[in-house]
Amino acid sequence: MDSKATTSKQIPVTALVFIGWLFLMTFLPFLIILGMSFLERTPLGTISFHFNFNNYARSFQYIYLKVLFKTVWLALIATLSCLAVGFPVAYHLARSKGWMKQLGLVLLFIPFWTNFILRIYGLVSLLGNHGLINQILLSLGIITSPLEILYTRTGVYVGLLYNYLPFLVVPIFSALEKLDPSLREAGFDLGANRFQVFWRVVIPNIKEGLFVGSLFVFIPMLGEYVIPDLLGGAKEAFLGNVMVSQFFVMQDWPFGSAMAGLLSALMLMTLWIQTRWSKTSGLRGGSLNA
Amino acid sequence: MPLELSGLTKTYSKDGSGFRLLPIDLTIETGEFFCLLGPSGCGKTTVLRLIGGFETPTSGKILLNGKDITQLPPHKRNLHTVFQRYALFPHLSIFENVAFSLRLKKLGRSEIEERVSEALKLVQIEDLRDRRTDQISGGQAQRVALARALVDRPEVLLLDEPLSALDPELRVKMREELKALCKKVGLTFIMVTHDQEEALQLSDRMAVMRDGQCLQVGTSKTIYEDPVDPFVARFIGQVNEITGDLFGDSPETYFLQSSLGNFRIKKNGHPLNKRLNLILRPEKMRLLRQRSQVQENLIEGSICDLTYLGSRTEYTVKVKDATFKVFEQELERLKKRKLNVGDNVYLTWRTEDAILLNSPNS
Amino acid sequence: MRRSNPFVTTIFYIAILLLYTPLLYLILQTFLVNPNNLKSGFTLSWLIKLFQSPSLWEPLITSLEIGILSASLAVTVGTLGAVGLVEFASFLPPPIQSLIMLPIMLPEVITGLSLLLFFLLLRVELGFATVVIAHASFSASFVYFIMLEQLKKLDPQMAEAAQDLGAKPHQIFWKVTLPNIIPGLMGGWLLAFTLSFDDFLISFFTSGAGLTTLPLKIYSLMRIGVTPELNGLSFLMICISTFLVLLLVSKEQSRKWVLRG
Repeated sequence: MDSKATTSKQIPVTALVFIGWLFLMTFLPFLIILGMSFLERTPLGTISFHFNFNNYARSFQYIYLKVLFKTVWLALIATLSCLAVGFPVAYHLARSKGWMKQLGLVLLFIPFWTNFILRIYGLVSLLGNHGLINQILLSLGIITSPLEILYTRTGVYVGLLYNYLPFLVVPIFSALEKLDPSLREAGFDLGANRFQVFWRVVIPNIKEGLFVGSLFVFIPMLGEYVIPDLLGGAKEAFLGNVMVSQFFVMQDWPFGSAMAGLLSALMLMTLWIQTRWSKTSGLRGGSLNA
Repeated sequence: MPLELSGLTKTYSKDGSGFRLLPIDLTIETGEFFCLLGPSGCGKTTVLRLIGGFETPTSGKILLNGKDITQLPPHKRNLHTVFQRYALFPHLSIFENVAFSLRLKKLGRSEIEERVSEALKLVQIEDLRDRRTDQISGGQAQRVALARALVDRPEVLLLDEPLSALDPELRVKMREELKALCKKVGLTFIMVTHDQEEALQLSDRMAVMRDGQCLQVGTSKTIYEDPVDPFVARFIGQVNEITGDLFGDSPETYFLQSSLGNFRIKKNGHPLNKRLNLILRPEKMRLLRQRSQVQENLIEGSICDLTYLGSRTEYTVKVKDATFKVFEQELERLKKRKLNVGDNVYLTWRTEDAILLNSPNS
Repeated sequence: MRRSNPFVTTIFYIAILLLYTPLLYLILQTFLVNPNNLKSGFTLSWLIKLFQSPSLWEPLITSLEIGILSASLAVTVGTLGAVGLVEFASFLPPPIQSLIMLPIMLPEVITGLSLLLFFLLLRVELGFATVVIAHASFSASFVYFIMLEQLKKLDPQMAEAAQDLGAKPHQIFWKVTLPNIIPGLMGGWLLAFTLSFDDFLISFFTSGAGLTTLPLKIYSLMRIGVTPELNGLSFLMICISTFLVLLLVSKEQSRKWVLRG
């Protein structure tokens, strides 16, 4: 019986400052953008307060749906690539011992605390026509004209993989860390070989970690703006890029806002799937005969 | 002057689990070492927190020296608490931890110095005064917590399971010191514990609690020898129980009729034909190697387990489908015939050693 | 038990190497006579030029000022929140929980745009102040979570002990709670500062025409084309960031957050 359970104490003023701040500085602006999405742009470029769903209807035109699907598709492929690289990295880290493990984790993250724009710039100077890769390949005589990597879809993939890898490594790593080592030993003891232990013991027990971790990078990728902007060409625009251009190029704020609403809905939906999945998977976790 | 609790209750309605502290009336005398004993969740800590002022009672009053302190916040009550995990301030040295309450009172530097030194000396840790809290052992932390609570000269010291965080050896040693400290400073000590041995050893009087209810208040001896409730009997020490019905064929003799036989019992207020529990302490029972002349209170059984513990031997005796514990003192070497597992024995006891209580199911 | 297999180990080291390649290449470029030609020889002239060019120093100062102010603001607001909510944190109503998570979950591009609309509607002139407020608006939630964790680690009996020994509520805060959460405060401040110092997108939307932070400067230089000064600047920034990370890692409270980025 602790004190906190005793009475319905009221929330103190200090907390109200924080909550008020969040409400004013995050929620209210978000509400404004949502509200804007139901308004209309007049031919003169002003905004008319005429409540309608036209902007959302317009979002479902072919060209915008194509952007939506491309965003989801590219984010999906990039997530799977992250998984393919991130899993071995996390696996190695989880099996390292003591300071090696600490050092590995710190090494993995140091690049991510250099400026984001700088990292992108690093990639640009690496991948460009005069970049390191092309310089080396040209001087070795492997290619005769520079490879087009920058401002293509490959550039976007490289950018996404580079920037999101550690955020997938961490959840997989912690899932592996939580795995009781005696489970593996029990697997070996019961006659499984390394391969069988991996597929029948390790994977079934961390699949939730894999799934949640994947969504952990997939969701923010959906809202990506800078990477497609700086590493991809105009053809590789994400929902975020089209949205920004609606604001600044087309000057159509209501339609841009509708795209923001759509993007938020898309992310919310994915998040909802994630929470639902983590709730139900509790029953299935740990079964050996998966 | 005493600490009085009158009609104190507390109701929690958190997530419908609905814990309730039933009205408690207690008077704790000045200088007394009083224990609140009970299993976890029985409400003993709640009582302590109510006295300390960390919770407000739903109804009832708390009087200290005749003054109503029920509604006072903790910092206005002249009593201090020794917390279960000691709650020493990690950002302060040992000296500053002890000096905390004196500094809040803005006492002069020399007085603080003097009183803290005195308190540290009282608990024999003068040499630790400049250490940090993470540089001392559990036993030392316990002493710091005591000094910190005593330095301000409270009228009552509240101790919330103060020994539970210590290792067993130290715990036994600290018991003696706590008791000596209580007598030395002459303050009222109120201690919460779930350890019956601790309560028996330390307290002048104790209250045994269960499910938010105070079952019995009394000295160690009263609680052990004359429990008023089967739960109290079982909670303190070990018991053997026989359930049966009371009958009497004359005004002088009463018997308990049970599946193990009829046993004579001392006359007391229980009405006839009532279902009762006969409670026997293992050390008050005797083992007979053969059927003696004694015909009363005799049960035949066989030994199914025995443990030699040096000063005594503990036997487990099987009687039909019940088992009995019997402790026999090893008084004289080789005097008695050695008993082995499987031997047939007879159990007996003196009528006045049997405790008769209402059966909880009746 | 056998150790990790060589295949997995190889992938790990290749991944780490590839993560560092762009940054190491930027550093290398700083010292090349022609940054786009590996064989052009080495020089220190770009670095020297960097230290002589005020157009690059100004954004650095701006970024530092914004970082310091927004971190201080975020720490104040976030800590107030954590102190007030620590008792309720585990059973906060879902709307409040979502509100606290919102700045962390919302894509930066939406955060930036919505703040821009917000400021425009309020007819606030975009510039230094709006960037500071925008940065603090998203980092306050991060600080809140750091402080919450720090406060939860505090023994709740400690506040009761202080109360028991005669401390009034404000004395409990100043004499007991605060001295014990200073490590968290420092970690939270550093995190908020780093978030602000690194931020590009939100500054991009909320800075208006006149103000240039360091990331914005890098962005505009990139748009123009690769300039040697940009490489010098990169070198400088990598040094600053590395220093900040090491500082953060050395503080246990914020280590977890470093590893979350």
